[in-house]
Amino acid sequence: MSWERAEAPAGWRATAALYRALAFASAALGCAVILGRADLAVLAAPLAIGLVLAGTVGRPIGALPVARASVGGEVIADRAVEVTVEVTLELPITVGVQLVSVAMPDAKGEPGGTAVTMPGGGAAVAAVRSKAVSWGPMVLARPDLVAAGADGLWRAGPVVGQPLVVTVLPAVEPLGRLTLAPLFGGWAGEHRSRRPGQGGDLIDLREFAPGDRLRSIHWRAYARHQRLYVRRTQSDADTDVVLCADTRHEVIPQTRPLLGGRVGGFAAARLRFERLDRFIRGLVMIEEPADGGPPPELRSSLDLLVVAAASVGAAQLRAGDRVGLLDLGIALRHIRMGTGSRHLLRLRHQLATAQPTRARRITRPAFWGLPPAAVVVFLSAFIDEESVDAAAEVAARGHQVVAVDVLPETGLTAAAARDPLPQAPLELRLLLAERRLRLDRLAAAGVPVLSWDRGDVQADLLARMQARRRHR
Amino acid sequence: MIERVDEISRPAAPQPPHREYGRSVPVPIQPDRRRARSAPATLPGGGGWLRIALAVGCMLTTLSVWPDDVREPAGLFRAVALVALTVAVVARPGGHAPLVMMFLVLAVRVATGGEVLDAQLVELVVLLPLVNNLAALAAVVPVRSSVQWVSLLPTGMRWAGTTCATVFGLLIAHLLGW
Repeated sequence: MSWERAEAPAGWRATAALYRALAFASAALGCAVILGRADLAVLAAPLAIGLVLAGTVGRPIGALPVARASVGGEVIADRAVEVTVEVTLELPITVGVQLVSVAMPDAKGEPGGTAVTMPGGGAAVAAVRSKAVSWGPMVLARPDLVAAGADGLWRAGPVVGQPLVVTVLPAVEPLGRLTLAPLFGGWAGEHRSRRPGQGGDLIDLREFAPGDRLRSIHWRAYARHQRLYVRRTQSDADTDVVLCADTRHEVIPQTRPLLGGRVGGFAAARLRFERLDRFIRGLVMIEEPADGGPPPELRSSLDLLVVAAASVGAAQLRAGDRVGLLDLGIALRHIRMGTGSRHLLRLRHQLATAQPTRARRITRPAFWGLPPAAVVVFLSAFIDEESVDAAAEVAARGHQVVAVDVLPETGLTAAAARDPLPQAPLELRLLLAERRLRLDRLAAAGVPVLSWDRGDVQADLLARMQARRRHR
Repeated sequence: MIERVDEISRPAAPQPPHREYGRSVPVPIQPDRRRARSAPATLPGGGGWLRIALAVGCMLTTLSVWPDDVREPAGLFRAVALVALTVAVVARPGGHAPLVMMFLVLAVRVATGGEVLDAQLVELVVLLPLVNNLAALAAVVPVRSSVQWVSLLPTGMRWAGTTCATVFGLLIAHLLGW
């Protein structure tokens, strides 16, 4: 049976099995009578008795069972999720249904990749573990349904089920807070500032004055000099972090369509073998999705951007900063500054609906409405001059800018190596060299450029900050 | 392997297990033993196993009416037709191939069999309803489907009942001198 034939009429109809059993029993009995052969009547007997027994159950009547899919809690990309499909009986109650097959999502996230066959006598619930392979609004399950009467002699469907559409949140990768240059905003937080105040970093000692806290007295200095001294420390600081997401383009690592000839033949044969292998494995084991696990091979620049923005936002929120989101691809998709777990959820929901807008231009940073002294995390694939110019202009306006490069360079290189055309790696190298010139220009403007694809942006930023300090 | 976190982790005081705070994972007050006990027995890849069982049934049916001499043209034709029909039945159990196969077996029995109680008759009494039922079920159960045993039980019981009744009747007739 194929789920693609899902537009079949929904009512009950006799299957070929009913006509087959009737025809065979009639023919065998006819031959037995005409030829006077009792053994032929014996051949007809079990089928005839089986038809009678199935007939006592009767033809199914009434409304078809209805399948509804649901999922508990939030669905996060690349993480296992339990999808529950509930089969309920509608009025008028259907009788005579022996089994119901319902399409279920498989372990790889295909909405109708597998199915569950269960008894059709009453309401039933089936649950499978699946996972959302990507983020954003997507169909997680579509419980198409086939019902069969006694011995499969009657059949209804396949009936198209109500698709379960969920907004899959981007995963947040563990990331420490970004090490930033001293800031000037706020009085509490995880960053250093240059102002004296309540904080952790010691500036110097001064003599005790009325009004000083007793807990700030430096007792070792008192023991040495027999005079009271108090510690003077730098104030802690929090800051406004604005995630500027350049969602105008999406760079996808993919190869050209398969060529004909021997190369295409080998590739097609490999695909067929993989399909056969999947089928055979599916017979003996159920594939369970793993929690977390390595990210899928094919990740576009938008995938990296969304994960990077969610991870950086989570890290800075954890550090006590206020975080906002600015979508440079479309004007009306901003999130104001906020803090806390709920704000992180808000950010992830907004990121989950990001789409490439294919806009050519970016609005001038003067109109972005950036808070004064805000730290700007500029996430882009930097494949054109617009993004580089915008990041440099923001830095020139006095903001501390960290550029996060989200081009999937590893995936692109691997795709170029697999490409049927031999000149593809050379083309890619040329394009990457051109982009490298742009990024060098940005680095010369004092903007640290971190590559999300290479990983460990936190250590990368720390190294760059230290190098800049040494340079000064 | 990349580890992922879903929310901002904050150090929190341990809470009693029956209360939920924030977005913590709900802890059931009592283990749901009823659900664990009533989980139905399921055959993974049951749709595929149905087809394998159908293939075995067709092969046994084919063997029971296999020609004595395949080198003769008639025997060769019968053998080729039976093998081709076996493949067709497994490939499309909802098509016409099962009907054609059953009629071919009937024709072979009419042509070569006699009015005697032999092993071939008993085999066909068992195998023909089996092929019919398995083809009917395989036509409605998708290949990549796990199957709960309970859903196949009525068909299995009907098949076993009809087959046993017929074979029992045959044995009684044999004892009575047929």
